[in-house]
Amino acid sequence: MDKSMKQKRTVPVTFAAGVSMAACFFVPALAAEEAEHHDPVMSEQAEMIEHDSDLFRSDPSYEDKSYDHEAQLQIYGGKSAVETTRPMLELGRHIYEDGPLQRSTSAWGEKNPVLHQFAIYGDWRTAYGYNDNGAAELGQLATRLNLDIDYKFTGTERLHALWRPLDQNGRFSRCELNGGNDDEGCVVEFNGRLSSLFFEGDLGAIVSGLSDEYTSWDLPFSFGLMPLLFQNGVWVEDAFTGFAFSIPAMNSPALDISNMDITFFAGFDKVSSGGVREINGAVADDDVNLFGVTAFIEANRGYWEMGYAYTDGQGRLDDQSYHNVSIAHTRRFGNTLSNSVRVISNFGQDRRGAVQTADGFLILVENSFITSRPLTYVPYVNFFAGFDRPQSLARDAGAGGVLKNTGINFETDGLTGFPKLDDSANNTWGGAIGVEYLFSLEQQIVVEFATVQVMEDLADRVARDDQYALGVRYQRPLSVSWIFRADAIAAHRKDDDDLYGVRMELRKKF
Amino acid sequence: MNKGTYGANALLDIKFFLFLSLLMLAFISAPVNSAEADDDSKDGDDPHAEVFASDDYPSASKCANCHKQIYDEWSSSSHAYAGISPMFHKFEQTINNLAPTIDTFCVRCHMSVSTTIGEPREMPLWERSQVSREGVTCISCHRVNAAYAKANGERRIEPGDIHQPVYGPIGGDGVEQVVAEKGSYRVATTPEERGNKIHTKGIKFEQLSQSEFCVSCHQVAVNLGIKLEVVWDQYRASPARAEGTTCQDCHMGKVPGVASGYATGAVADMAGKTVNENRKHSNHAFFGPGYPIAHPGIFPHNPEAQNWTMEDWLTFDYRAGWGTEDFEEQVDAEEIEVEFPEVWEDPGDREEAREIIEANFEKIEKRKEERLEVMENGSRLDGPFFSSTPALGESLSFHYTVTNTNKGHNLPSGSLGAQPEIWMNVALIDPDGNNVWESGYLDSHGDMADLHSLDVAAGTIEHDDQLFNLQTKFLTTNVKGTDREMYLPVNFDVDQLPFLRPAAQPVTVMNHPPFVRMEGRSIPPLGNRDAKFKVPAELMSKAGTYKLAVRLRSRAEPIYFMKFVGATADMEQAMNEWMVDIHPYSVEFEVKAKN
Repeated sequence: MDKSMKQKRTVPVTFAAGVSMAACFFVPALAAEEAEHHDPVMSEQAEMIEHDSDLFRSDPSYEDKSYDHEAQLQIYGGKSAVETTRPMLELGRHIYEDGPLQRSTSAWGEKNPVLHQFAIYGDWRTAYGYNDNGAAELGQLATRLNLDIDYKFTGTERLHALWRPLDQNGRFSRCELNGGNDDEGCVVEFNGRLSSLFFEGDLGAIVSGLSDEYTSWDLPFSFGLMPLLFQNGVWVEDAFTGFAFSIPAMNSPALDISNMDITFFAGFDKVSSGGVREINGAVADDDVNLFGVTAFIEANRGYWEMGYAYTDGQGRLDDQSYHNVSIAHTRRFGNTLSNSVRVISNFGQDRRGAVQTADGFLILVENSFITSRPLTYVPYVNFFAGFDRPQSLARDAGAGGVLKNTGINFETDGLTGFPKLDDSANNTWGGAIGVEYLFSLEQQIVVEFATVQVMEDLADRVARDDQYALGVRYQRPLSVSWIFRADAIAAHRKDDDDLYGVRMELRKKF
Repeated sequence: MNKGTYGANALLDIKFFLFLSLLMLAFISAPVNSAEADDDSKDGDDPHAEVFASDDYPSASKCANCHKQIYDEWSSSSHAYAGISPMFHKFEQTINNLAPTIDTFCVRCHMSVSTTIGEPREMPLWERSQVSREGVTCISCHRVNAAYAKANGERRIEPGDIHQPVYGPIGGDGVEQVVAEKGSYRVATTPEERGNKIHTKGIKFEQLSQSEFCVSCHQVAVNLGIKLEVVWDQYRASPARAEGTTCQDCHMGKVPGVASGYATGAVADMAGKTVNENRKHSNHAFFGPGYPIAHPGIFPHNPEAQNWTMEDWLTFDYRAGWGTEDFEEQVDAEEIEVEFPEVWEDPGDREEAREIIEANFEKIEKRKEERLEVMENGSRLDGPFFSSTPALGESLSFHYTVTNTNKGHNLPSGSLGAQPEIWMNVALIDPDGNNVWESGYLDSHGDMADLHSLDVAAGTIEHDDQLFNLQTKFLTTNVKGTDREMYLPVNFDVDQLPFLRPAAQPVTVMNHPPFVRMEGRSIPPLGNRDAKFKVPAELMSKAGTYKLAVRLRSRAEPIYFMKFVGATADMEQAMNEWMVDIHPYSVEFEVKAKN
């Protein structure tokens, strides 16, 4: 080994290292280099010579290209207006509209100007589905309305709410047309409750405004009934009442981390964990607290996501408390593969003789292949293996199971009861192989085959036996606000009823 | 209809009432409607009408009468280029086609006055007002008087003719003196007076000399919370910030990219007379790595070029040598036959135009020197470091070390929405002078040989397995499973009509919005990274003297991205022609048979 060679080891980034990264951030950085020209340091065998840029392969040649003035004129004169859809209601500053901006006010301090922007937007989904989920066969027309209500009043502070007036408790306003209980007819499921209501802001900006002195730190935070989504929804996809704050945009020269955020969060109500259930088996979303931390680290030509949380059952649910750890790494390999590997592990539950509800671990290996059309032609193959009863940290009842992101055959539609394979990863393994084609980014077709293979005894799992499914999805916008989507699934379940479903949906975004 | 389902749930939840009450309180206590709140607008009128009809947004060319040095510095800067940039216009149209709700988001920063006065985003550039074409012009900063922070470009520009106050970092004592002695300075302080028309007051605006002033356009997230610029994020966590070094210290100081103080001089020159000779001079070239690829007749801003329209200029084939001595001689001698557009039929016009082109090229060359200085002042390259003594018939393992010596932000930083590139190009030359191995080479289009290379996809060149590339990537989540690289930070897998509205989640505590993210590969301040390479043994087949040549290459935009947005061939050519090589050098070393 050359003695003059500078040594640098890549430190394996483990969970422990990840948790300690906040501390690393505060370690003084390497001694500053003077910004002055210098001769490069190198191995003693190498000797500097006169540089010759002709030693490299040549750059592209444009000798055969002539100047095209029509094309040049088109740059500045060939732009076109694009029809767009405005929110249902806008008050104050309109979203991304031209025109002069009003003067801001200083109610929150001179250094945190106030400019009001209120908007109501969202989407309205209506679908007809004919589904056989094994237990029942039903054709129904169902609808849901998602109204996002957003009030932004500074550059960083806002209030946001989601109101879903046409569905409640997993039931949607609907007309049951075929099969099922014909007496149901049409039902309007009016709901006056908000699905989310949270404040989002930056404590650094607020303190700067109120104190009239710029802080040296940013501290984004949120509280209220807030939906969080971590690891593409695999680890967390739930709205719960609590708070969260982040130490954002750190880096580490020592660990060669380009960017890193650490988020701390806690939930005190509406925490939906499949690992904490009432006696009747329903997910207990009150009397459950949650305390967690998660880190996002951009390093090693990819990124890491890691988290730890403690789910704390209160009172009668105390014996279902458990620890939840997750780590995931995502990166691309050459021009071949995009890959994520995720592990979720649950431990520490002491049921005092009762059946465990959160234990074991889940491994997910998600892959897509890089093709000659890397943006639009995406073959994928995703694998999973769940041992015992692995649980996401928190999942809303409407968010499906922990395997929702594994394949389209593991996802219902949140509207008509479109059937899916067992998505619990409870003593099962399997995966999905499919292909997505996005044409010119204006329409989509997905075809996928998926399977669930069982492990252990029937009593220790949800799926009765092996399952196989073929699914297809087609989607395309019809205008600047309407989207058409169709899905179909046919699934064979050994030792259980087969599944069939077909649905068509119109969705209006506004 | 099942009436029973109306039940108790029909009653509004207490939280809903609370939310509505808060909103009502907010709107009662503060003006919410632009027209009502803006005392520059007339109630009931279209607020655009007035500003269209007035001269309330003065052009930089008016400021140039007294602030010539600053105008000259600014005229070839990235700020001056923001509204001319052909990539900006191509990209802006493409993202509007694919995600129409983005609307004027991009234009608000790039052409701040244009958006303010309500010019449609698709309006041809030559139909826009002069001040609109100036991109980030004088009044984009010096008519701002509110201390905006993360406003994502939404800064109000105070309207008013040239005589209205401007805001600066120091104050208005100089202006006060000039106004008091306006006769001797030959300036006009009202529209009726003769002389150079000047602003009558200079007001100190403290934020203008603080880093926080830059945040509103250089820490930018588009709705859903998709970050496009993260310079502030990087700076906030940097040693430079801890030491009190500002953005302006490095990007407007005496030395490009280094906080080494400011030049001094008079800020204004009125008919040969000046005030405050030794005042701090902030360089308005705004040193940075960006570079123009526009037609050299329309950029840099050059008052003499205004003898022709933009459309005229764009028909001027500067690449064929129009107006040069050689070219015109060949035309005279009928050695070449060219069908000139009517406006360029006169050889005298072509020669005059060529002079302007050459003058502009000089400015662009100067900019190139400055950006090279910025990049070299902010980085260091060491190596090669051999893993073992190079030997005949054995693989050659070595690395270079890239250090970010810049204390202020990552390497690279800047407008990550444009996906700027810095990569290492290293070539091995055998004793016979043959290039036997190389990494960081370009394909026939100018792209690196990675997953975005059309030539790699077509199988005509090999994938560059050892490529060292510091470019930040945008990723979107596939319809199911993992993420993939995407040219736009917009997810098309969920649906193909992506709406960019405020997110339904508190995304600032989530690192990124759902299903879209940025993946930084840049080197943090004062950090370093090894670029490791291994040359196969079969290529080390000759004893003798080998050469290793290395350079870091900096380019403002990748060619694959340019193709995606429909860039012209001329744009691609200019993008490749004007990229800079940072720290280029070569070494030689001996390869002998192993004893």
